Amino acid sequence: MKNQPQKFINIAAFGMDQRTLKILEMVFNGPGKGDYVLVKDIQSAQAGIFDLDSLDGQNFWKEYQRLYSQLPIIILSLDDKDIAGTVYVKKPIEVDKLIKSLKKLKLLSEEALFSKPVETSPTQVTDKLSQGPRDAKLAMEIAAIEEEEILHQYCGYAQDINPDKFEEIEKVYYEPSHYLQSFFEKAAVVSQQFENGGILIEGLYIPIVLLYQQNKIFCTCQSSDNKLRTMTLLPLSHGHLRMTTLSETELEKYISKHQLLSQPLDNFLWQIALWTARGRVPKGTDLHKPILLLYWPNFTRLIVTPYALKISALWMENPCSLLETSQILAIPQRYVFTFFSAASTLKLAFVDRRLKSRISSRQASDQKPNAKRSLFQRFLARLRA
Amino acid sequence: MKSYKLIFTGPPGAGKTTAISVLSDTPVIVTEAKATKRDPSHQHKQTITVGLDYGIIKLSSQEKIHLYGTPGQERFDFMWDILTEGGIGLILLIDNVRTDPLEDMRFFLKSFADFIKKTKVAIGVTRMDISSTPKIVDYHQALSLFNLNPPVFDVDARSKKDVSLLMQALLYSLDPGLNEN
Repeated sequence: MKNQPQKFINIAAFGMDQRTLKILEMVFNGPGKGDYVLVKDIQSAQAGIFDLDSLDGQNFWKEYQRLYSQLPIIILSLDDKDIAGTVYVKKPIEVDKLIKSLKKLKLLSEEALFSKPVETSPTQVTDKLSQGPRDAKLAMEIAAIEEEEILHQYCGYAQDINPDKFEEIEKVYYEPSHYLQSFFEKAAVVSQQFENGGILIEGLYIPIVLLYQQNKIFCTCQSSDNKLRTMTLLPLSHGHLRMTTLSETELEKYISKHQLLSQPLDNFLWQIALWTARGRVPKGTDLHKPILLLYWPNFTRLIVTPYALKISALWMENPCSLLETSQILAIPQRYVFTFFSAASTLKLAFVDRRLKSRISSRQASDQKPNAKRSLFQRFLARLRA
Repeated sequence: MKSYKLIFTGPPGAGKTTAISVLSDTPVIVTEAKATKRDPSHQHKQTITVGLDYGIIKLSSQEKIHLYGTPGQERFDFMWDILTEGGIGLILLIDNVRTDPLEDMRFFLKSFADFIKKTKVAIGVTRMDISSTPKIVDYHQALSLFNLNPPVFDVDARSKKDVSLLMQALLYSLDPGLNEN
């Protein structure tokens, strides 16, 4: 009989001071939702977590490898560590990264449990033979978890609302002016006036230079920077942020002095909008009026959220409202809202208040599919594989 | 055995051969010849396609998508009608480094107008890393004169992800009701 995966796993910690142990305990019980239990005794642990920077960290690690190297392990360190069979988490610890790594650890631990010899039987031989596919399955599960988490950062978790209930409708709105998103949008508008030169934004944790005409933003961070994401989620404190115009010469000097790197402004604004909206739409957006999509977003250079291509194709063909889009395409509302919020930030999508929807949901469902739909479906599946 | 055709077109050097080769399940059959008279903007390109490129995407043992790349030079335009016969859609690749990429786009849209009317087109603009103008928005503005609103993406023809996304957009243009999963 196969071992069943248990709900929680016991994790032994090594080389930690009391403060770090306390933090781990809080993470395990809080965001970890009780899926992880800190234990002192390695004999009862299904996984381990090591602080390699502690005084005896390296010695503990060598000793551990000698005695218990079969356990899945998280390595905590200030420096990047690429140790086979371990999951690395950079210090200082960021809770969401630790949780992501713990999920991987849990999967690895369950995998170790499955592959542990329980009894000698013909089925065990079969299990060993199927190790390869199981490893691939495990890798796919880990990749799926990571993908799902990133997806939630952009699209949130919200369930579909009932548009007849006022209190539910309120849930789909957010106020962009309360967040960093609106500040960047304003800076982009100001920057539009300058053929040369640009706007310097100070007061964030790093300086950012914005050049609208060149569709560029200069900073020292990557657009996927976790700190930047956190800042987009916090209520905006206008007092700390400053916008200064820079001439072309000043700009060149500033960029070179601070060694700023460029990235496309469109991509940056798109990502900020996704992080901020998280499956919602800007306050005041009419959910019942049709959406005009001016043209297809440049998807090869933007984050493609779920169903974004499908929504674009529908809106290019038949402008319809946000709620109808979800209904017609049979997709969760949050994905439609997410895509609209990002596209409207780039001024690609608008609510057309004058028009009534050209098609009703009923008509849309009555529309005949393309005669080659099943072929296209198989072709699409092949491309997405 | 069921077979379908997908057509790649565009001016010489736009990346048709490369785009087909990143998607094809079989080695691409390329009929290239050494370029004798070279466009100054294509010093990178040692060969030109004088016949056509051909690749295959196998959907199953019984079903294939044939990828055809048209020769870019106008003197081969007599082949275009034959090639598009029965095709399911058009991928138009435009090289942003050429002298007048917007004119290139107009030329190919006119040449394939009948085929586009029957199916759909998706446009990939290549080498935007070398020449950032015309911008994508300029292409959309030019397209409005044709009353067309196809996907136009910045594409690296060497990138499977880019070419695949362009194809997916083409498929959704043909039928927005397709399912993702």
